Amino acid sequence: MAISVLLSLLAYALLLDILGFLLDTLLIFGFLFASSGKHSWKVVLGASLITTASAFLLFGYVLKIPLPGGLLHF
Amino acid sequence: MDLFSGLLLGFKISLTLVNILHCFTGVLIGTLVGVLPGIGAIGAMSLLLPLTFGMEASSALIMLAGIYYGAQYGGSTTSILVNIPGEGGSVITCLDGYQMALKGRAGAALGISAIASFVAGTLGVLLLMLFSLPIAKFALKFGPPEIFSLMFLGLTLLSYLARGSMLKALSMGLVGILLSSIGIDIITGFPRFTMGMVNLIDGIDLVPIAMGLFGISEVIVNLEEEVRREVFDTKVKGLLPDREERRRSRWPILRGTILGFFLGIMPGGGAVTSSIISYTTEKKLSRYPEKFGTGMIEGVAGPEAANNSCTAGAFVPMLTMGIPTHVSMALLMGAMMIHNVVPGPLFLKEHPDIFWGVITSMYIGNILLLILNLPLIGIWVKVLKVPYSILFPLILLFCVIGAYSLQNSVFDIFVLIFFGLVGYFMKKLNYGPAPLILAFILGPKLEQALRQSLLIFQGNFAGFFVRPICIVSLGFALILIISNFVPVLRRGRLRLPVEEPEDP
Repeated sequence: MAISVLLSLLAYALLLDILGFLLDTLLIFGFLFASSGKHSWKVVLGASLITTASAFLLFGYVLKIPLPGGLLHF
Repeated sequence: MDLFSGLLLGFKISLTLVNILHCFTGVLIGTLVGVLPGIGAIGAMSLLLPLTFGMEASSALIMLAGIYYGAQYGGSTTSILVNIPGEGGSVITCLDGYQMALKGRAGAALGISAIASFVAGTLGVLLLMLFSLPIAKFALKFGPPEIFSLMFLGLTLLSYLARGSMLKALSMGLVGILLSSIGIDIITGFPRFTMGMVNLIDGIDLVPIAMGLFGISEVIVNLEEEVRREVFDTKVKGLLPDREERRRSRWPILRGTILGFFLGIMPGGGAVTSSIISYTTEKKLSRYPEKFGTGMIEGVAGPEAANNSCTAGAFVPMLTMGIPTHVSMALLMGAMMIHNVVPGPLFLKEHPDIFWGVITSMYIGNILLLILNLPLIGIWVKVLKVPYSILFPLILLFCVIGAYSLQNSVFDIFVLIFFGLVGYFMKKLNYGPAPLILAFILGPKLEQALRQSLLIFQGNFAGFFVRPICIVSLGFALILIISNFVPVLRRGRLRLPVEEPEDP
């Protein structure tokens, strides 16, 4: 399980410039939340959405860190 | 600048709304982090380091310092309620604190640990003030040779006192120095170890390394062993210790404060060491030593005081001489250097506002913590119930974004992951990350001091051996290193459990 976490982090870094912050974070978060196998897909989806949104707001607006937009300029 | 005017200046800075807010945020995050097992003060400090870039130097330091001593408070809560220490310094509190909780005296235990921490923190800051001034004045006489010798001694001492093999610790220190040399040489301008990669020209940043070694590796290790936590569910009533308990705690608190402070000044002495030594002392001095481990309040009051005052003690060498004796201090020093504030003997002279501002903010922080901890315990207990499977992705995300935000570069994320992996293997093979990080931060300063010294001595190393402070420091360091190879001395090696940040 630890290996899959590391690989997903690597994937996150590689995909960041392609997918942009929002999509990449959503995807990887979903994967990480689901990887424990303990939560229903509804919980996973909900948690991922909430986390991605709050992270975007916190880092993008409150702390004003420029976040990558990806190829689609999200 | 004498004590009184320093205090006035300090309070003028720390009592502004902005800085009170920073202090509050710091101690809040610190307590939260201290409550949650799996991430400690050092992890949190490295996570928040990048976020402090936009802040004023004094505000950044106030917040980071708040995180550190806030975490000590938070760790005690979990020790007492769940028998799981949230921080290294709270391990000892589990022994009698949890027993008190089982006997229905959880409230008293929590109360006395908050009070002990507050008293120790406040007294510790007082001692810090009293000691810093004369030491700083003495340190002004230091030149590059003395700075080099003392730093060298500090690193060696840390390796000596480290848990496990001294050789491993020393080699980690050397790796740290090596890593710090990546980049462009300050004096000659030649690139070193950049291996043709553009990203390495400026060297590796402290933040991805610290977050990787402490944060990411911690998460991976935790994922391997599932930590089951059963939270103590009965209501915590009666948050104040009764008069008898208060009376019994008075001397342990005082002793713990003094012990902790002086242990904090020494390299390697940290919250863990201080709390253990305080516990042992209280047990030896007590009339009923056999009762320790069944819920003696002295066993909670003393160690809790010690692990708070050692924070104040650790500040002394860092603020006055620029020598961090502990990883958390090294991180604070890293933060200062990022804000272009150079810690060291000149720090007090050039930035008295930051110095006194941070010190007075510690008073404020201690008060805030007292207010926070007593009523908010219910909330912390709820936080403890969040499953780790939800928690760890959040920690990882913080690390990743933190690393990215330094230079808007994905490369830093790769560095982060790389060092996360390195840190994981280091833990498995019992190599401590503390010497590495300390050496990494001290590396450039160490090298600069050495080269400046050689410039002064015109290339003649003998110059080191005519200066008294250098002789003593370097000689002592040499003895420590040799002692590892001489079997007779090796057996007698002092083994203190050093605060290892990867404590559960």
